Amino acid sequence: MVQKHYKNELGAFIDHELSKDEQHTIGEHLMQCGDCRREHDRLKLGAQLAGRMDRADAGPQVWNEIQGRLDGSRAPQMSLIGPTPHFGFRNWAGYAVAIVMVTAMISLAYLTLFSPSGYEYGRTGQVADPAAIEDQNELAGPIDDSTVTAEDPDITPAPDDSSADTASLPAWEFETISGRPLVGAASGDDRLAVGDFLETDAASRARIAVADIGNVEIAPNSRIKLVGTAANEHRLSLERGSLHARILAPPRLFIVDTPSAVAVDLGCEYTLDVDKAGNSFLHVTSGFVALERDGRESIVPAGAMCMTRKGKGLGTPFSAETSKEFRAALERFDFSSGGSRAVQAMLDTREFYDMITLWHLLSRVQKADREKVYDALAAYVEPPADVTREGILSLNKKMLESWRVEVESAWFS
Amino acid sequence: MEMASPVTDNRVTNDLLQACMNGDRDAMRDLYEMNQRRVFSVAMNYFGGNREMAEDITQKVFVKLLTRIDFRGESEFTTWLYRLTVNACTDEARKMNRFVDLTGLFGLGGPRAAEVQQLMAERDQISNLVSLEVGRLRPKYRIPVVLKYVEGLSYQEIAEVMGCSQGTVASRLNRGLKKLEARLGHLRGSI
Repeated sequence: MVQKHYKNELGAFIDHELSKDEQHTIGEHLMQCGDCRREHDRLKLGAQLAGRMDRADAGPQVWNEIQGRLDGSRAPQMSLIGPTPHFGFRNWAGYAVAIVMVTAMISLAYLTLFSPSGYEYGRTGQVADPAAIEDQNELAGPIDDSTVTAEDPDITPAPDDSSADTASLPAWEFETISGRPLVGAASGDDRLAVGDFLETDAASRARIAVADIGNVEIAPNSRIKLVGTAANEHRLSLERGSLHARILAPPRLFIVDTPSAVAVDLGCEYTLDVDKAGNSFLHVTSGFVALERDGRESIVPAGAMCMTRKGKGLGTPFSAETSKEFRAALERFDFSSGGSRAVQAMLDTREFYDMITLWHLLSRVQKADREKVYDALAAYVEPPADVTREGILSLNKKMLESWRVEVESAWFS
Repeated sequence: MEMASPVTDNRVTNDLLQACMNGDRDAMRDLYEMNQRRVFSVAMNYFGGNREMAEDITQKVFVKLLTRIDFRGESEFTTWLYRLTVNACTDEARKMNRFVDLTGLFGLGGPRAAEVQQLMAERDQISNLVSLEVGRLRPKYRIPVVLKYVEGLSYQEIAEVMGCSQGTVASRLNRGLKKLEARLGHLRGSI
């Protein structure tokens, strides 16, 4: 049946910008249309995020500056349009950068002419960034009235999206919270360079600034090592003990290696423990973390946990509030070859928030058990319109992913 | 989140504006106090949470406003003020682009590590991250997102500020929100 969709009106629907009748019509449509509902959920999340921006007052000195300029007490060039902040005395960094730029250009010319690998050095030549030129053109006049076109790039390139990706960053700063952490540092007492380790005893704790994206608190009896830091990846290894990470960054920028798995931050906050045997235990308190090993991945959302056992592989995520029976059955399945009996035990004791485990089990159980898991999960979270039972049973990746989005939405609702 | 008063609640009277035009410094101060938060908040979020840039913009807007009041009453005063602010922001961004953003090229354009750590320590981390990402949207998406979700303007008011149709506003907001979701959707569990 051909059905009218309302994707273009969903933003206005969320913002209550439509008439009462239109709001009602679209509301009814959303009850029946999975496509529009998913679009609605994306826009609503975008609106919720945008709604988190703050308002603020200008500092008191701003009025004083304005008064000064109204009084004409400033130099003429300051009277109406001030100097651009990036090249004014208020921001001396502009001059420093210009000097660095000139030096870099001279170096670039030298390396291009005399180095056999001149092309590699040439990659830093980002001055003629087409996106920057495009934006410059876009901004060349007053607010334009052009319509949005399909070829618009998604996001204005970030300053560090290109050549900075491979540039090494300075050592990380750390501070002692208590006791006297032991630091194998060549870079000074309060900094951790690549290759350095930091070790705490029973009485000491430390906090490390992860470049410019967050921080990691190191618990007592822990040992970590800074494996690498660059604009596109910051990497620690946790050899033993516990850390608590708070990261504000795009996904996959912060990574922690453990003896039994790799924890990839998808934002934002989690605790990771490694015991003496090298087993890992992850508890996510905000956002998502991916735990990876041997090509397998567990996506662990806030409110869920996941274990790995050294030599036995990656566990399946589970709700922090799951029952003891469900968790015991899951451990048997993950680490003791529990097989179908363990699956059945989980199905017998499952509760609503075990949905996250059930989704992961779809691709981990035998086909005979998969049907039961499908039914159990479908009872909690209806598969979206583009997902079929046959597709899931044959582990169609697109359908699994589509259902995962629904599961996550229900998980956080 | 606190929103601005609706534009239609504009309390700036013709008398106050007239007093400003006559050089009454108290009236100017009143006009500034009543509106500085609008201007500063739009500029701060336009520039990804950069307070220094926002203060420069606030200063420029009010100096221009108070030295050359050419408000003709064809729209609400606040609509006109938002237009002035948005134009000041785009002018500033254009100047920065003219210099090919040298600071960004060398990784000095964004907040420094110490500043980010400071931001992290503040109460609402998410708002800082959202502000940074909004500041990376292209201006034609960024402006309606800021006006709608920071200042609480209606589509019609945004259309007046931007000089475009409400349909264009709706379309750009849709695009802007989807881009924001694509970049920060991983925070779903944190908001």
